[in-house]
Amino acid sequence: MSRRGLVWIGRAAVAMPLLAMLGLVVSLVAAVAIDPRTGRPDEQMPIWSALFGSLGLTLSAAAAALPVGLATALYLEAWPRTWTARWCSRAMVVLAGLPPISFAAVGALVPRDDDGQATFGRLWVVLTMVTVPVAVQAARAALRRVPTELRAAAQALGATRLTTLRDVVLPTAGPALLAGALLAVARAMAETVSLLGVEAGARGAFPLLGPYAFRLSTGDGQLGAAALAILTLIAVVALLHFAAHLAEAEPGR
Amino acid sequence: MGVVLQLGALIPVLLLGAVLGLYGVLSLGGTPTLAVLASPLLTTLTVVALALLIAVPVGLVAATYLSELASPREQRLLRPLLVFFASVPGVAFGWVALTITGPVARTWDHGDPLPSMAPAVVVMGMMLVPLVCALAEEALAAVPRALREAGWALGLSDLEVIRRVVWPAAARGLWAVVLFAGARAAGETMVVLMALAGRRTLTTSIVARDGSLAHDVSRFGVPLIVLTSVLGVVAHHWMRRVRSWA
Repeated sequence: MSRRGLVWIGRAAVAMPLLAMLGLVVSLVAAVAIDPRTGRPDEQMPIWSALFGSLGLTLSAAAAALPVGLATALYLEAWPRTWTARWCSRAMVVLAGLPPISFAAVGALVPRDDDGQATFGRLWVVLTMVTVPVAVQAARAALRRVPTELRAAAQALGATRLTTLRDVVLPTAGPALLAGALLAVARAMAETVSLLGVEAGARGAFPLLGPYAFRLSTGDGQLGAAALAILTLIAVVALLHFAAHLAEAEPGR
Repeated sequence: MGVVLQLGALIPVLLLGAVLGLYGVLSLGGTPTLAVLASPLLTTLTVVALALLIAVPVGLVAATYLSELASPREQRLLRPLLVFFASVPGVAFGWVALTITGPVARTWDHGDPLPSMAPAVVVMGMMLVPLVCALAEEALAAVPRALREAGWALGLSDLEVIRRVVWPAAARGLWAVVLFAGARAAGETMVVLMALAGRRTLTTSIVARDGSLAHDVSRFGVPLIVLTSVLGVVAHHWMRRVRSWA
């Protein structure tokens, strides 16, 4: 087969997920436009409350998870052979593979109350736990992109490990760390099932886009309103990914 | 500052200990028998296997194109797009399975198990394609360029270099990608919760139809954690070997 034929087969394979995404967005937009109940969603939870609720919960969970992720990644970078680093690396391998729903059971340990605050506490605990492994992986990937020659040069000039981290690695990895943080926030924003497991059944439901869309789809049958919530969620995740892409782009490229 | 960093590094260890400890304590009330576990486990494995049959060939071909044949401009455009597609929330795919593929499958369904699984399988397969593509590209990119050049120098065509040099060299990494994708599919809850009516997987045995947690969450939570952890650990081990080439 010629190279030209291979290229077209490859392009067809790449086009499939692109077309699937296009189909997804078109069907969501069509549902919003067609469903006559769109615009009159659940009166108790307008979509704006769900959007700001999701943003507030995500940012507060990221505020806890991202520093932990950075500290862990820096420690693994500077002292990779200590007892702590070995066990941390092993824990990260298992944590990265755990399904998000498995964290929801931990949220159930937080005492429940009938008002919204206790529910927010449970949701915050669960989302932070889900985001920590993502934040660690993103920070490690960013730090690994710093050339080893830079570190070796710093240490050859007498810099300690911490000085190398602070004055060489962190500044060089800055854009990649920022991009990784934005992607971790996007991942947290997209998280639905573990939050649903914590929130469903609570009397005072905390407004969140993902569980809101789920309830509208399966319980109330308001598919248009659910589609609008999903489109909003996808738009926020897309904005975060675009911001991460811009953060990583080198000037003049 | 080193102590602060070390304390931070202990947090993932404590986190994992908390999750495993909780499930360990909850499972003291009794573990499910094989008879109880068989049906959800079999449904989970069937859905995962069928979804991978869709995702792996498409993802591998797409990854091979991006790694071996695409122009730098196409790579710069497509890679971030595919990373974004892999991050689309599962509830979006669940909505598609509920509203589009579900009604279509119901016209074929005469009580046979496979058509009733079709909405979840098709949607999950398409959902996994970007993940498979991104990970497989990493495995293919780790193959030393010198191997490709040796193949071209011996007169092999592009297809032959891919088939006889690149894919065999990256085989361990590609199998790791299959395991990663399998673990991701096994842990997927939203799509199966919204699309797989009448059948239960391990994840939908943990949550009710309204999304709330089951009372005996450890009953199926422990097997789910064991399954996904084993797949993830083996895949990580294989992928680490591939990354050591780079």
